[in-house]
Amino acid sequence: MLQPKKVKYRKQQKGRIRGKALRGTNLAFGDYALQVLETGFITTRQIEAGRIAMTRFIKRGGKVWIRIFPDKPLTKKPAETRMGKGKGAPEDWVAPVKEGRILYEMEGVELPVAQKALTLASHKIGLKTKILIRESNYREAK
Amino acid sequence: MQEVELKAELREGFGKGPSYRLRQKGFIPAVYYGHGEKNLHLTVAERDLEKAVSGMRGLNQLLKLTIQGKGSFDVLLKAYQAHPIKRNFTHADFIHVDLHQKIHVKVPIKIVGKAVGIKEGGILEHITRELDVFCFPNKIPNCIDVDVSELAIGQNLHLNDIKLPDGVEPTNKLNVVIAAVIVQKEEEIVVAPAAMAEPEVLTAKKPEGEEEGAAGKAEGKTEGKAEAKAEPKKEGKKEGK
Repeated sequence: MLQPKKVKYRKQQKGRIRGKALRGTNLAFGDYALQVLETGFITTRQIEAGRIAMTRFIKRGGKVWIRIFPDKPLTKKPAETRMGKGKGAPEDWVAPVKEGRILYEMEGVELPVAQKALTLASHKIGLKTKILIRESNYREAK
Repeated sequence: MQEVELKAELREGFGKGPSYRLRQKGFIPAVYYGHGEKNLHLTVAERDLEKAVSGMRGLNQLLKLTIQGKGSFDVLLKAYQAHPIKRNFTHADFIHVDLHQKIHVKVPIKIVGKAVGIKEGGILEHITRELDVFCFPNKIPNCIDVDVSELAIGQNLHLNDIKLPDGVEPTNKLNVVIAAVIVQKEEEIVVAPAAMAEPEVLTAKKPEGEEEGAAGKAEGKTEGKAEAKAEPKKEGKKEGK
């Protein structure tokens, strides 16, 4: 699963995600993509589950790119613990995404296969998504 | 090439407020410039622009821009801004073009045929999707067709291998790769560990007992620090009770 090799600090503050994505909104490698329509956190497990669902469906043939990286640690306090006594231990890694961000790209497969594979991946992501197809519903946003 | 008519009006309001109100009404802010002409701030109906560039030539369509009170000009859509989700136009730049002077445009590359390498188990990778070319504004090709049917696994198709239409010259002197057939890699089945290893913490403080210079064991240091911190707290809690 994706996570950083080195970090400067073990824990981070939650922060707030505001606005729309201004980068990573265009197709850069493939012909098809999955674009997120909501803002939120996507965990490393969700990213991996989506990737596995896609690659299993397309079997041989096709190439997949992951356009996000989970570089934010999420902490969690243990169950049945009273409040206080400091911040919890790092539990998960997440990628904060803004609406419009492209999550996966795909190339080298037929359109119906790509659509089905990206739909399977979208079920693993806890946010609303949309499939982009270079040939039809796509214009580069600048 | 047949020109497509597009009507525009001079714009009076500038900035995000007036532009926002324009977009609400179905118009977009635009600008006209080029060839020593004085630049003009315009408004264009978004629907008309969408219609004008929806033909075979797409964004390279030569337009006849009629500006109310100024006349009509031969223009090309030089640049645009679009919404990242809806993909509709939010701004347009029109450049005045001289029909007798070559211009620099980007022409899409269309792949034709099925590569031999795909049947052998490879993947066709389309590396260069647009080609920068010089040509006359009224002779811009719709697209450049590239036949990849003879590409085997491990072979590349370069710019020098393709034949460009008459009157079209590439701006790039480099022999760039257009498409390649690459070998399909088998997916490695990795069993995920139950607990993910913590990454190396660059700013971790060393425990008091450890000497300086014992580098490269940041993980151990972090754990040591966590334990050292946790122990006195527990003791303190017990004492308090």
